[in-house]
Amino acid sequence: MQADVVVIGGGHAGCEAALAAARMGMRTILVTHDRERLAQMSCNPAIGGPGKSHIVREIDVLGGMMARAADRVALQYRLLNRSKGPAVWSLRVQCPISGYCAAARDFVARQERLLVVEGDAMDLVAEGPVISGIRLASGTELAATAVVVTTGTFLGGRCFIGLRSFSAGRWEEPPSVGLTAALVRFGLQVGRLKTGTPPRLARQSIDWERFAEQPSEPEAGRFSYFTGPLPEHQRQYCCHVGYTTEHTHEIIRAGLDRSPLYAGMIRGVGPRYCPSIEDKVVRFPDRSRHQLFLEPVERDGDMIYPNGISTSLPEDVQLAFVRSIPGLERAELMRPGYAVEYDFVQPTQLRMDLGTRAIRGLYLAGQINGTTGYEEAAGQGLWAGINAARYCQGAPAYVPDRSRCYLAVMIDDLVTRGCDEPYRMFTSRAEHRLALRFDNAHVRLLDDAQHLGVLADADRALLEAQRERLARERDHLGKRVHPREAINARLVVAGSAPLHAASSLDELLARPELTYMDVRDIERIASGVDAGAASSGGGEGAGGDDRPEVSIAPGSIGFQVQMEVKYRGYINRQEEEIARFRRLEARQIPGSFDYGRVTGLSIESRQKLAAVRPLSLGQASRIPGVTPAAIALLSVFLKAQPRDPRR
Amino acid sequence: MQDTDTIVAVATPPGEGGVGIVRLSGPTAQAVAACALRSPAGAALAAAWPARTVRVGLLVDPGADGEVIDEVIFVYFAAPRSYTTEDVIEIHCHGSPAVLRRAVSLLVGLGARLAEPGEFTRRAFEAGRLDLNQAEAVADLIRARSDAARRLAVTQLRGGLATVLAASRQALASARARIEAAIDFPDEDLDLLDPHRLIADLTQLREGLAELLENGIRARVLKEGLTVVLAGRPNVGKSALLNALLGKDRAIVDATPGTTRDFLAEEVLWHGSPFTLVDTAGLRADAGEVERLGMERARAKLAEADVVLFVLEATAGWTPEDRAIFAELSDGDGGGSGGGGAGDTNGHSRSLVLVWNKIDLLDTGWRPTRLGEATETAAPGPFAASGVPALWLSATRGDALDELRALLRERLRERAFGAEAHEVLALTIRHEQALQSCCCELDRAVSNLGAKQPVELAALDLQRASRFLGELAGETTSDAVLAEIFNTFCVGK
Repeated sequence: MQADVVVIGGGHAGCEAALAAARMGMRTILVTHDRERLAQMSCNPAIGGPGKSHIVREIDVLGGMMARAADRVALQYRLLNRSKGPAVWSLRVQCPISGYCAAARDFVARQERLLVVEGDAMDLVAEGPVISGIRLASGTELAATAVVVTTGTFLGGRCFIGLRSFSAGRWEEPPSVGLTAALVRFGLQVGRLKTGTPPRLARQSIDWERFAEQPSEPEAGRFSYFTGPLPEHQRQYCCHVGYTTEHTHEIIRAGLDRSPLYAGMIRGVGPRYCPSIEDKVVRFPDRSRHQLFLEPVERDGDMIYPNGISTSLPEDVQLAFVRSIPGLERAELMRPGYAVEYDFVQPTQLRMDLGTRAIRGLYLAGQINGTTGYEEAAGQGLWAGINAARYCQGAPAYVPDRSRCYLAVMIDDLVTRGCDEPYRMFTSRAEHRLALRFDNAHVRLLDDAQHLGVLADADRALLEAQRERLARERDHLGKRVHPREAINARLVVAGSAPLHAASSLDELLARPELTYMDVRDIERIASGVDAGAASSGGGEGAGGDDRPEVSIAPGSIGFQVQMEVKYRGYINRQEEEIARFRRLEARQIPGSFDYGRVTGLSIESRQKLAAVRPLSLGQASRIPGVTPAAIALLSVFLKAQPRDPRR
Repeated sequence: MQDTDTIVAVATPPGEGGVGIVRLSGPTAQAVAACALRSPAGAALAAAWPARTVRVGLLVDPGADGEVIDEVIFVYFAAPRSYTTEDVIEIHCHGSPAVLRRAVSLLVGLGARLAEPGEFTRRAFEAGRLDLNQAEAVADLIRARSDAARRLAVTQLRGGLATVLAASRQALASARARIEAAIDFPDEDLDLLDPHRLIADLTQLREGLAELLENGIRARVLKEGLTVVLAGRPNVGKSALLNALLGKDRAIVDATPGTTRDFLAEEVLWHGSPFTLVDTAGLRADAGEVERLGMERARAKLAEADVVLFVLEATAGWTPEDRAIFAELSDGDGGGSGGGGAGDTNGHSRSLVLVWNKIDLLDTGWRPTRLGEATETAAPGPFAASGVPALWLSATRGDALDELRALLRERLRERAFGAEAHEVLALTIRHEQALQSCCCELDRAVSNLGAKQPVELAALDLQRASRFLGELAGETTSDAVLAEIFNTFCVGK
């Protein structure tokens, strides 16, 4: 068989990669062990959260499926960080695992030019330094111009429960064993990382009364720009919060001698931000309790995911400590928790387009690059899929910079700094956080999406219209109102000082105590429309039919306008920093640059630069161990070097 | 990419020296220099400057009536045949730090920007006029420079500065970790965002840095003297007071209000201690265009003051205008100025003295000696309790001038007190600015937290504060905050 792009792996990265490549016109084959388990959520049944939800929105604007699939099956919405400012508000959605798989199957099935092949990818085939296809365990060869490898935890996967360990990529699924050898043969360095998952509990064995309910917030808004309001019939579910006890911790301590982590069986490094319960107990001995969340795994299924107690202790210890938790005294484990260790490729061996430097046309995405999380994987998959397609088309790579999107922050971090523990997105990794918001992904990336041709016409038109309405609403705020009794009365009601001179609506909205709703009301009064009637009337009124709904619901136009005005000072400050950042990013380093010729460089700097091969001086300055003096030197040599004849 | 700013810095090593070189580089270097350079006879220079020719001249302050700052020699290197490939002017002054500092701040006032560390060399590199052999030679230089910078930082860091700075950076990382963890781990069962505790910690941090700044300023004051700025309404006799203090007629005195349109600076030695006395345009609301410009300059001078003499008319008493000016003077660093940065220099630490002038014109014997008594009829209570010292004098008759001089010498001693012990900490202008900017960001963060503004705004303030501290320590901080989060908090559900 012959394809433009072959994607190995049907997880979150693999699905987005295959969909993106096919959407861009590539004949694409997705190779997976099990076509029923596309985009399986191997661990917690949720998508989103701080930083992660921003990635999901960016995927959405760039034509990916994650946001739409999550919205289609969502069991619960929560808007996190509500007590903080809108710049860090984040959405999280609980999803039924089988429902999400079904949605992914549907997206894949409907995508033209995309074929799913069940099989075990055993080997990668290259002609010299250029990829030419893959070989399956069955012996079948698939020829391809580009190959995207997204093997997740399956590459050399080994699971640990207590002192027992076995080869597996995931619970009861075989690992992928041959590919590591191929990657090593290509000269790629491979390391080991570790992650873990908690035991799963049976719903009817839980005493629900003992846990605090955490209900859905249907008003939180939707993930995707394209899915519209939550339908009435899409029933929403609660999560539940509980706590471990001192007794739980004693049981865990007593079982540590049989922990594969503490017995030294696991070599791979686990994530510090997602520690196992035994890690928490050991590292924070002063804490008398740790929190756990009970999350539904299916719409009406029996399985419950206890978030917060990931463990690789032996099963008997798992059962004992689970039953020491108030409300779980009679809990049944449907399956034990375990740790999984897997191969990853140090991502400093990749270019910004996620292609390997060793072999042209070979792209890596997802957990194989050292990340954790569905969203991180999906984002990389989309990025690699787009770039594999661009490679096939002979077009330049698509690599926006860190000031544009979280996707770029993540990928720049990976390829520039590498991983020494599984990488997860946090908002604090984005130095331009106030500019990279959940609400403005379309403003940031719509032009790119158009340029790449990854959005359907209708979707593109919808986002364009939204962006235009936002721009128009900004113009509206330039309108001036004059001090009048009715207006001042309305201001006083809102706890704001009356006007003495004319003021723009924009200036009014900048007052901390006034909302967009207040300002729209004042605008109506100014144009002589009765406030009471208008505020209940919704969209109609002074501004004409085309004005947005009077709402500051997350994601609404009002929300965005209000946010922009209230934080303008800070957003401007951030824009200044972005301008400074871009100056260094604009100083490009040719791919062929020979660092050996830069004689003043320290050996350490030279090695690091040669290993990472940064695209720009800005990227070079973010490589750990590369000093400011090295950057200054490099700058001289770049200028002194004759121009690349191809440019 | 092309840098378009014209930059200025002292090119010779810090400290006393026979000669000190001030270097200007950039497209407007010549224009800026032309404003401040005169022929030895004091005449303006002809428009065409011979390149690569050593010339003798005077460095003057056009803003202070062409006051001569120093006799200098200067060289013009026309672009691209200069170190940076831009237009470069080198001005060789006498090597007193006070003169060099004055020269740099003068040129900054005329439109140049203070150069970043190594910016001249960087511009030379970026201009790309070097071939590979030359670049190799410069490589050694860069390393030498960065080594020297590191050694300097290490020297600076030894002793008090090291302790305060290391502790400050740790405290800042900890505060940032709490805020960032609260943002990135909203589900955690952690009480991270106790604003009172954060504010207390940041305030303490800021106090430590302010103390560092104070010490640095003391050391500088000891070397370079105390800057005393006269301010007040027009026609209260500021210029007369300046002349009286100098013992010569330096400023034009006239009964017409608003005679002084610009500031006037003069250095004097009293008992061997250096002072710079600055007369400024009177501050009033309904000024004309030219006068307003003078007032702007006056405000800029106020920002640089170590001591402000607030001159009042004993005959007029405490007028509403005085009250407004007093509010401005006692609230010099209280925000408002936005991201201006340099404008607040020393603002927080300058001291204020009330000078009631023209007592010779008072016909009553009423002459209180303390502010409280002077103002209890006219001013609100808190004002009386604010502890601002007041003097009653007559500039024209010479009453109580010695008292004022003694008070200024006292201020100098206070400011420079303990400076000997901190000799090594004498801060450069850049250090002062970095510390100042850091404090300014900390203030913003505290005020944002206090006002219950969204916490990610304070997070940005602290991110910037941390960059300034890193600059001061010659390092950049990157992943420190995440590491701090993971080490300190049990996060991850």
